[in-house]
Amino acid sequence: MKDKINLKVNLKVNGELQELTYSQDDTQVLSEVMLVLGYDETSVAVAVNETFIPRNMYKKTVIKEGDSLEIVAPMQGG
Amino acid sequence: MNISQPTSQSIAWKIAGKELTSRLLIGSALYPSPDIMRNAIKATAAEIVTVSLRRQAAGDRKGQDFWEIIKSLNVNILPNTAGCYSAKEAVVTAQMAREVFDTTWIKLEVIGDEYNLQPDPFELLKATEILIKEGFEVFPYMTDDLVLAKRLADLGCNILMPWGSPIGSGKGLMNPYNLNAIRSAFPELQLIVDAGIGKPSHAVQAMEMGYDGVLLNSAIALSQDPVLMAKAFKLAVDSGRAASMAGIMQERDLASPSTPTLGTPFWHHDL
Repeated sequence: MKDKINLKVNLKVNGELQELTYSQDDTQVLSEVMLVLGYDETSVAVAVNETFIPRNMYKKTVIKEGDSLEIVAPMQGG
Repeated sequence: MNISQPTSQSIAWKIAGKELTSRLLIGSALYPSPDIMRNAIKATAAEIVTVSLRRQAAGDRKGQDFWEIIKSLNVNILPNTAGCYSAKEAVVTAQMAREVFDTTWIKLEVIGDEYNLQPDPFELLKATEILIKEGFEVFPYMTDDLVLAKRLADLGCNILMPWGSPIGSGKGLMNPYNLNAIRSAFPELQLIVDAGIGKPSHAVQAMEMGYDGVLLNSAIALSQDPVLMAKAFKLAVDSGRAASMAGIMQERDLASPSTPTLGTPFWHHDL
């Protein structure tokens, strides 16, 4: 049986560089990335490369090397 | 006999499709604690509360905890795009806010100058045009510029929010002439003075001028006693609205006695 090959992807998450590791079998879609990063997707909103991604598109949005994610949540405001 | 006070009918208004009784819009930032924020917002009786979006680290509950408090107040949520410096940033932030807060309302802020946080009129127009086409109810935070007001109205804004003075400055209404000009030009639009209100008399002044509401945050949150100041602002906004409806007397250059002169004791007519 062939060994799984891990893939490393460098992303920018909220302005900070992060290296994520996936097994080759995983699809690198936004919903997976959110899970790996540890976010509860129901309480945040996400933009990828400065484009808003609606929640119902997380499973269809492929995340690539070098992508930049903004992940935001409610906060006090005036 | 009832003492004449502003009734809920005289204070009631309709904004962005909602019938409201409070004309005070309140921010949720800068309070000494979440409890004080909650109690101050309650004391204003405000029905519209502004909130924002900020980057969140994985596992951080702060944003969610704050949101639970705001939801428990049962108010209308007005998310802002504070901190955006371009139309593009503001549009994306508005789109994210619509999803998180489940509202099409957006307080559109596009800042053009770091020093005084003055709105950028050009980027504001660009963002407004896009967001109105996407079905947002735009509450544009703008300078007190009549021509900008016209352009925003042309784009379909039902609400305009000219500043009183720079955000957080507490300087009050810097240019009443401009604010009056906008009020006179757009009697059909909902006009709200946003930013720069420092004390209740500033809010009274805006309401006396016929503005439909005021939006403030720092004046309450940064006072020594935010809950008491919240009550003061509620009274101020109600008072200014009642005065505006009652009709304010004309100023005169000459004194005119208020006590009747006819029958004054010891009065005699010198010929």
